Amino acid sequence: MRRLAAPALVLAVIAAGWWLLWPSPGGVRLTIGSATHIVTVTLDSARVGDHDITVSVTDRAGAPETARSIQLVAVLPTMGYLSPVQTAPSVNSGRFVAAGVSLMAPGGWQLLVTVPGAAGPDRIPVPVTVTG
Amino acid sequence: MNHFALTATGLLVSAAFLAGPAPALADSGSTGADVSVATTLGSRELTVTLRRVTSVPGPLGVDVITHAGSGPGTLQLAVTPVGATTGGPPSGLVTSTAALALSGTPGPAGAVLTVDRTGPWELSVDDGLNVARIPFVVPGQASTPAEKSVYGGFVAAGVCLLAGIVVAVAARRTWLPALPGAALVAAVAVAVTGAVLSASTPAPPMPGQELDPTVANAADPYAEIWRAGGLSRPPATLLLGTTAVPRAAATPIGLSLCDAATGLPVDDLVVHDGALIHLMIVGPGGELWHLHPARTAPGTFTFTFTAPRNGHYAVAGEVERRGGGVQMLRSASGFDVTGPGTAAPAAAPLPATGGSRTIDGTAVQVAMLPAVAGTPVTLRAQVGDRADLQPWLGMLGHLIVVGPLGAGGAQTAPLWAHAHAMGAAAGMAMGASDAMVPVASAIGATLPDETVAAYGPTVGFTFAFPLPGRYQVWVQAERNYTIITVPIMVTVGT
Repeated sequence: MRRLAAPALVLAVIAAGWWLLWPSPGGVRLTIGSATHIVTVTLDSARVGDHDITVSVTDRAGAPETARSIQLVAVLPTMGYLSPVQTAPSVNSGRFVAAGVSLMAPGGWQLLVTVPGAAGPDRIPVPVTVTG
Repeated sequence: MNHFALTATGLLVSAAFLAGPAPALADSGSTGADVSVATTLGSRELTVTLRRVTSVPGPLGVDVITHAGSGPGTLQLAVTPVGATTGGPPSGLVTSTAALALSGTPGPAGAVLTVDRTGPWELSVDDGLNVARIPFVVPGQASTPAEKSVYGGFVAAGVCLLAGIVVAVAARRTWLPALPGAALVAAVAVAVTGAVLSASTPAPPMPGQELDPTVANAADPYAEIWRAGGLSRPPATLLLGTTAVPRAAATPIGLSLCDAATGLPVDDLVVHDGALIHLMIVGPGGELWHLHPARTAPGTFTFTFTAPRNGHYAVAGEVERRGGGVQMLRSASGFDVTGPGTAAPAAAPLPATGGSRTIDGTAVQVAMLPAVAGTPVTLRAQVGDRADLQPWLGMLGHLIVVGPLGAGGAQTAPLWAHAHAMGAAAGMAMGASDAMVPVASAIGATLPDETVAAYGPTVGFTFAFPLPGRYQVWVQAERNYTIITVPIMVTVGT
């Protein structure tokens, strides 16, 4: 038993280092502000594929957006690609979900979030880097 | 005993390496450089220079150079972070302001603002009537992957060394100290490899220049080094906001840039030749205006224009999108000017093969050998009589070429071109050596700005006119903070 202890310890150290250094494929949560709104975009992962994108919108004072829906398009500027306009209905106070948004290639995408308003729509670009 | 001597020596070596320069922190400073952006704001032609940011939070120096004809006044400066973050205060609100007083005398004036985070920003310049919004990036100071290997490798080597000492003292089995010893060798190998390769580590695609800048990639461009290559974008389209302009009245004219693939506004211009956009306007009298419309919103620019005479004005813009080359965008429409009254006739252009005139108080001579289509030919212009020209837009001189001229004038001319005088040795006179040296190397590694009046007086341009015919060309150079525009007619034979 004691003969196995040292190799086991070495393996445990290697495994721990592997686990610590391996890049995590975690989700994305980005917050950006305009003069009138604060938008937080949440994706479960930033990998190529279809994503349900949650968008939280408040005014600059923190009050949730009361619109019934917002609009979202995905743009991949290097490819000159523009997705169809996706309407994201409100699912909660100031939270909107755009279902099945296709981010089909790796690169620097822009999610253009359009929030309606009395003074005109507020179009806010949210950059999302998508990996393969 | 030998083992202990070896480990002790190794410990000293590792400690010596670890005591070297510490890895830079992501939020500890900037590797940015000065950025100059020419902006036509109302009736003023401004050169706005954002000085290098050396620490974050830290000061951002903003210098504004005015030119002849700029009246006194005050510019309100403000900076706004515009990036998306994973934490911290949201962007979108002004964080620092300053007022900059302009005297009526052309020259530089400065103010200092504060930037408190890395990432993309906007500087707004407000003259009370017009607001220019100039995007810029505050970069972090990131370590290269090779540097990280060096630091990580030596840290790991130090840990292995300590582990080796403990194991060597405590272990009963003789082979056990070999494990941390082998790991130490591997760690040192990683560190040394990183150190050897650090000089040849390729640069990552630069945020703002090739990548859309984000808070994350501005802090560490190496995190997106995998995106290098394939970063060019579709061409852009230039649309004028109006095609009818009244004569002799200062008129704001808007223009927008659209992506040719999506139709969306183009908001990824990089500063090239000292401006986001260079707009050329050719009037019916053969006049040239070289303006730099102010960016007012994504993809939207505006400039104020006073047309001297009725007729058609042809327009083209030069822009560079991120990850792509410079493109010339010709307005398909141009604009027409109508109104009562008449203007004095425009001055006839100088013949390129030899002519002289006084323009804005400066004596100008031009000379060129007969031009043949497809063959490079050098046009020289002597502007003034001593070496006191100032670099404008990073160049000693600009040559705008429009032709061959037909019935439709500039609007239908097949060719619009823009060449540069890359520099001439200070004091070079007309007819002296043709040796051309970059402006930067004439005085050292630092590119001089417009306050350095030490060049010329001769500026030379070599251009291969592709088609025979008559070309209207203009030489532009700066002297006494005045942009001198010399109209020249070139006849190109076969």
